[in-house]
Amino acid sequence: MTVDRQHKLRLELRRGVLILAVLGACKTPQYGYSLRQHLNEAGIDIDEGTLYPLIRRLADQELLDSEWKKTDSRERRYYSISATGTEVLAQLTADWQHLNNSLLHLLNMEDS
Amino acid sequence: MTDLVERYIQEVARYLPKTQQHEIARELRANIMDEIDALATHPDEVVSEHQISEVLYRQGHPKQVAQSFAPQYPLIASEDMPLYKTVLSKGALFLFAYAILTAGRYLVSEQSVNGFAFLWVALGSFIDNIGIVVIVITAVFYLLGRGGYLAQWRSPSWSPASLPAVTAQPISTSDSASDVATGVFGLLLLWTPLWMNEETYQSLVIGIAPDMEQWRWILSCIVAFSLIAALYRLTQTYWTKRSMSVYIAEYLVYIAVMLTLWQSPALVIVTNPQAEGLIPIITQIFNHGWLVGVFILSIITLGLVRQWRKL
Repeated sequence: MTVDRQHKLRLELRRGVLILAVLGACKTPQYGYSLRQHLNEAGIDIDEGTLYPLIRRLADQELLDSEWKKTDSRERRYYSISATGTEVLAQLTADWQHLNNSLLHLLNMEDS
Repeated sequence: MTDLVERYIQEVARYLPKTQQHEIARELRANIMDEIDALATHPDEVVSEHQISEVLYRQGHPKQVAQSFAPQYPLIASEDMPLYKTVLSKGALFLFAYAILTAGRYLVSEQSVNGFAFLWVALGSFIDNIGIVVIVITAVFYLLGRGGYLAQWRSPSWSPASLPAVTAQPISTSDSASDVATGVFGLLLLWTPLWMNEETYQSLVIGIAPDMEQWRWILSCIVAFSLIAALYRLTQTYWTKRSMSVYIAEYLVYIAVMLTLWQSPALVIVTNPQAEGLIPIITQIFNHGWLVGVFILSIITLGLVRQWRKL
């Protein structure tokens, strides 16, 4: 399999999970760069071109609240999870755990 | 330091919808400035142009970034493409039928049998109209898609029991369209006095013999029935025993009509005194033409009967 194809498959695999990661990380208010760092430290490497449009989209879908704040002579847009986002996150987390358990079981079964 | 950043943001904004330019540019600027600040290891360190270029390069091409922030949706959603293609092909078939009619009318008006002229007029008519049809269909799909009215067509209700049988035979849409064109053209030919101007009509070389005038009505009824049946077939996907029976019956009627006309006085005669020299040719053509027609239609009918037995 080519490296490009593998890269596309990985992106596909991560796409849905990133929403879960962003919603989870925004339990505390984050601005674009801080969120990227936060995710990076948690082991989720995500490039700017993907993350910044994604958080805007989640805000448009009212899963994130946002507000502009001026700190250190720099204005930043802070995002935090909304009430709807919290409900969705709880549901998605349950789905994710269920899916993860099933997948682990399946993958372990395949290995054995 | 900010010159490169501003140039980059300006370029991104160029590809954004006007209503979102300000907000997205503001947010993008804030994010990029944070990325650049993070490069400095201490507050007084000046970040080089090269480093800024790398940050900007990492963001992606301005056009790509604009597309990620404000995605431009396709005119036709991919899930609507099958229906869009079906409607487009039906529209093209309709235009094809119309082009054949236009070319046929042209030949009748010009009293010509020039095949090249027929193709040229048909092609011209098709090309003249296809652009408008594509634009109109695309615009309608775009508007209906945006309004959410196409969702019901994406997964129409169905049940496994309603699926066609394994032996089901699809109706050829192009055949049905040709049948429609032939039917309309036949009616136009039969009723030239109604749509042709007086002068052209009077100059026609051939016409229906006065003592066979009742055949104009008989043939019109038969052709009109064929036309309605062909239009109905255009709405159907598969042959049924009944629709195939009707189709075969149509052919049998045409064969019977041709045999009757073969035995009757001439249906078509030379009507223009200046073209009397053509009388022997026209007589020969129609004497043999009916039999040739019977032969061809009989072969087609046999094929249809074989198809009918498989249904």
